Amino acid sequence: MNRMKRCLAFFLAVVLVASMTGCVSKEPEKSSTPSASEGTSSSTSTDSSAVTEPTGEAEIDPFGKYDPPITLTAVRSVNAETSIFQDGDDIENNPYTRLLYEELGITVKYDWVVDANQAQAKFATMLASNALPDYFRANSADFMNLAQNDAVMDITELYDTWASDLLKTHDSNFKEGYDSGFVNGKHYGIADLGWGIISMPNIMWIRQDWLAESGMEAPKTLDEFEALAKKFQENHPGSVVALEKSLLSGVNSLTPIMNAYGAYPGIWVEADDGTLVCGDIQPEVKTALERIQKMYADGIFDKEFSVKDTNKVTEDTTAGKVGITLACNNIGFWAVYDLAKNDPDAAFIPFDIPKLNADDDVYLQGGWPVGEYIVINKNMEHPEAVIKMINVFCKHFAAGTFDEPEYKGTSYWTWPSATQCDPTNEYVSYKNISEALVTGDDSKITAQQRPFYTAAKMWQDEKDTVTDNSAYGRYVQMGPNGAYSVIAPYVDNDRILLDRMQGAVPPNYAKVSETLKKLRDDTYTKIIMGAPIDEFDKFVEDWKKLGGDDATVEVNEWYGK
Amino acid sequence: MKKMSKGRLVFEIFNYIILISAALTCLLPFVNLLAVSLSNRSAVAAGEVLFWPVDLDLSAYEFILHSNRFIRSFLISLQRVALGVAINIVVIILTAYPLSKSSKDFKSRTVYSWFFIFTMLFVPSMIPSFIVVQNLGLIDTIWALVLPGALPIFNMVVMLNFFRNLPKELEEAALIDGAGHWTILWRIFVPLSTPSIATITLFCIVNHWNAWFDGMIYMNRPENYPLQSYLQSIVVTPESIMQVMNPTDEMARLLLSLSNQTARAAQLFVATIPVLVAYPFLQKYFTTGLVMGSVKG
Amino acid sequence: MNKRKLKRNLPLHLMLIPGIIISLIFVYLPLVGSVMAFQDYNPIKGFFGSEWVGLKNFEFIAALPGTFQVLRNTIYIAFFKIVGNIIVPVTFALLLNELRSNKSKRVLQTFIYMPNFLSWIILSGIIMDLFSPSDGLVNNILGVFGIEPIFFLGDKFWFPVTMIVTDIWKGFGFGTVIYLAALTNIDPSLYEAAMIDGAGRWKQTIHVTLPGMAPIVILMTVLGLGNILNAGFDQIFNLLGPAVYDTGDVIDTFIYRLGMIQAQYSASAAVGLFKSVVSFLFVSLSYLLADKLANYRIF
Repeated sequence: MNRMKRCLAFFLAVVLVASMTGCVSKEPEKSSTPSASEGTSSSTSTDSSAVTEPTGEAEIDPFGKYDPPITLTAVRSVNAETSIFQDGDDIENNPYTRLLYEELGITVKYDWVVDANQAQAKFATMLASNALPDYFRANSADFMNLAQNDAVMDITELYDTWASDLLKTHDSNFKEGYDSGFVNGKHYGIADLGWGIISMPNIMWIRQDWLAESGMEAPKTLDEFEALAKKFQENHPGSVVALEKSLLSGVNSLTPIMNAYGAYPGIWVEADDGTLVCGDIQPEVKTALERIQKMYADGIFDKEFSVKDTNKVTEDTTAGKVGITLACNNIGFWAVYDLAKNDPDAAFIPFDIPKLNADDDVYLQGGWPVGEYIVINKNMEHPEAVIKMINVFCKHFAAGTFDEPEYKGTSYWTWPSATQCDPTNEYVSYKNISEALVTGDDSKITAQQRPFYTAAKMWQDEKDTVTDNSAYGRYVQMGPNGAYSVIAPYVDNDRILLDRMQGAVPPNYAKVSETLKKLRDDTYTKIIMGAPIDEFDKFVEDWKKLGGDDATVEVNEWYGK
Repeated sequence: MKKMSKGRLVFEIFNYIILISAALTCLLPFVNLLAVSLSNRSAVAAGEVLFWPVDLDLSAYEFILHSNRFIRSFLISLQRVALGVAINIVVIILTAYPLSKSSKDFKSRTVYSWFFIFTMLFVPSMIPSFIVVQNLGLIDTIWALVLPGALPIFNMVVMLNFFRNLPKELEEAALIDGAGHWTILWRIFVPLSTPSIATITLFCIVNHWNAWFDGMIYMNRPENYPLQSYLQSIVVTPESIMQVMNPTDEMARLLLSLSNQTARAAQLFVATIPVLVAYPFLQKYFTTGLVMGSVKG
Repeated sequence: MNKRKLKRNLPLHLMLIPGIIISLIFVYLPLVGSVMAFQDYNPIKGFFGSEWVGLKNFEFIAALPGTFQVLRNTIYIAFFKIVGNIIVPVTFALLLNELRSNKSKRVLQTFIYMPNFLSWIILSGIIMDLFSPSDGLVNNILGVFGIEPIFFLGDKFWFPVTMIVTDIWKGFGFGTVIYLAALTNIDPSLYEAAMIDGAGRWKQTIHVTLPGMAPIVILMTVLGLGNILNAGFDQIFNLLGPAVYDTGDVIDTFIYRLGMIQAQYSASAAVGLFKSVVSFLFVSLSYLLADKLANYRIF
């Protein structure tokens, strides 16, 4: 009988192939046992307001348990080799999913789980065929497109009703980020606020032993920076300043040098007249690129950078081919970790970025911390369940639950992706921990900060015999001379530039933004590798012609509001 | 035999040198791969490994044995080959036989031919193909890997030409004896076509074993990936995993330590074995089958 | 008579059913979806709901810098692949044919057509390591001759060359086997006649062997023409990096990036459609030539 149905479905598809993609939101599961919610979710009302209404005032409990339990569908990108779970656990059954089930009666099933580097294609096919799960994370461009077309649920009321106080506090700690989840006045997505502004900028990291050996000071200017790099090459032939092929992200290994020139590629900044302009095409970039091109020609950067991804750069670093790297606050946990572990003297330590003149007052580029939005399928039966999951995550994160032994070795990013962190958490943790490390008074350390503090203290006290893998990483991040101590003054003085477009990509720009970004990356890469600097002018022209100008108008219209 | 002239001798020597170096360029990369997979990681990173393992180290193969993903994907690929090739051969034979008839004997042949030629020329784009496969409910099943390519036109043409070159008298005699087309096909044509069938079998095996793109698009879980799709995910490393998913610090480190060259080499090497094992068995039919199929006699 | 023939041919129609169904579902049906090339396709609205925009997508692509570059790259790479994949195997077939020992002939054949059966995924992994400028085997060997390391996969000139050479490397053994088989089919009496006329080995090759191979060589050349826009997705996709988009980006990788990464579904479909139509013209032309020059009909 089943086959009969399949055949029928096929012939319907022949006739209606086009329209079907518009209205069939989900194929019923085929082989696996159909769960209760999946069976009903397709037949539920499409009116979002009707869903929350019947529960009534008295029953609204942001942490309420579903009885009988419900099942939600989602999607997931992972790196399979690192999705390591304790015995018998897997991505759909681990300490966290059990916690969700016990506290909320929620089970999350994944429509698909694929490797991170293949996820983009998978996501594109999912959107193109409009087969959306109950909830998922969408990047800015996709989020905008979905919201503009009213393709995901308006959660304005839902959020107000169901979000816990803690979640609301988190969101209000970074209002701009939270607001970017609103499109046309409706709340379509819960912005993932990330780790806060302090975690965004890249700074300079230098290998401690090499610096000592060179007898030089940490560079304050770009000239000194070049001199140090050359000195390193004398002492260690073949060594380079690390550079990655990916110039795509808002912040990358070139950003600090760009920032020294007042150039901010990758983000939209406010010009003197108060309008928004795209950092990619500003003349300062050209000046900076010229400098970088010269440095590249001088052999300061890795000749092969255009094919090196993060992994390769890390391998080089571990192999002792890198003396300086312009990187983010947490590389002590991974990229330079092996070095420090084997020889604490060979550790990398963070410094302020080199400037054009030593006393320049520069801005650091922070990009935009919100990369994704949690959106909810319009046809979902229990939309509030997603918000409840976030509530529960916030509660346990603050309580330090995830540092319990049973969570050891698991990783929250392999858990159901309805999560939210306090965007000021890193800053506050840094303040408390660095202070306690200096004074030895740990009374301010909260339950959630405790493991961080313990780790960092271990490195401070006994770096040669540490057992905790995160000791060095935490110390050079949150310690008194750590990465955050370099960045915190910029935060305090409001000298970190966020992307003024705030991730809310306007629809016409969304269509061309990826193309324009690719054009940018190609041009920058080419120029660095020796193409005539005039290529930049051509790029600016092309950029404008290909929709950049329209986008600027569009963005400013939106900004003016 | 006459004694070789001097020029001839020089030619022969050069000829051997050229041919042997060509053979070496084909062989040595795999020897290198094998040597890397058997060497110590740091020796590999230092570029010391050439054609012989340095500091023999079997940990890469231990990694494979403990890597559920590699083994699962390997088995899925085997399954795919078995199912996919069986379907291929049946559909190819059934399609090639009628089309091998002359238009005189089989009037509609021209129309049918054009129908199939067209499919060879126009390749549908990814998104619509995906939507069709999805609406059929094939996503994340092995059928998504074997049905869309069930009729490889090129192989069908090879088969068709082979059928066409079989002596007409056989068929005519059978027809006079009152045999139908089914009988002629299964009793006469198929048994006579062993070389050709062996050849297209080899092609189909290779096709299915080597396909990766469909697995990446149509499968929903890494556990269901065929081998080559899995290998693609380790060979072509992510642009930057760090940016994709804010990994916790410890995990990121683990991730980096696992993606090492020796493990990769070992996996690639093991993945080549089945094809290398398959072809000697089919090789003896291979040339006759292909040449007779591609050239009209 | 006619009726009987019809009844007798009924099985022929039946046999075609599986092939026809497969083609209808997996080729013809998705081809209908190519109409999105003329739409501003929005998945939420579906094929019927999306706005029709005429040729706007084609105009957009034409305006993109680099589109013609992509076309040029494709033809450049595909052309040399087609040519190389004929000349190299023919040469090797001739050389192998000169060997007297059948055993070494067989052993050598077995080695040279091994790469042909491996996937581009595996070969990409190998090629990336082999051609690395810092510790790759190829550069190590060049270094012995005092040649500076060449960045094969990151250099604008060398990338397409590497694609062409490795593709020929992968395929030449296979081609050699085919041509060698064609060689052995040459009527031995022709050689005897030539020998009686006093022709040496070289003369025999010119006057007997080459003409004997001509039909299949012409055929393969002509059929290769149909591939003029197929530069090899599997190979290039897995080896391409942004540094060499200028010379290495080809139509298929371009289509992929537009559709799957940049979510420009319609523009991607438009490029695909363009490719199909041009390929169709070339294939038709090549079949026509095959028929005229080699008297070969594919169907």
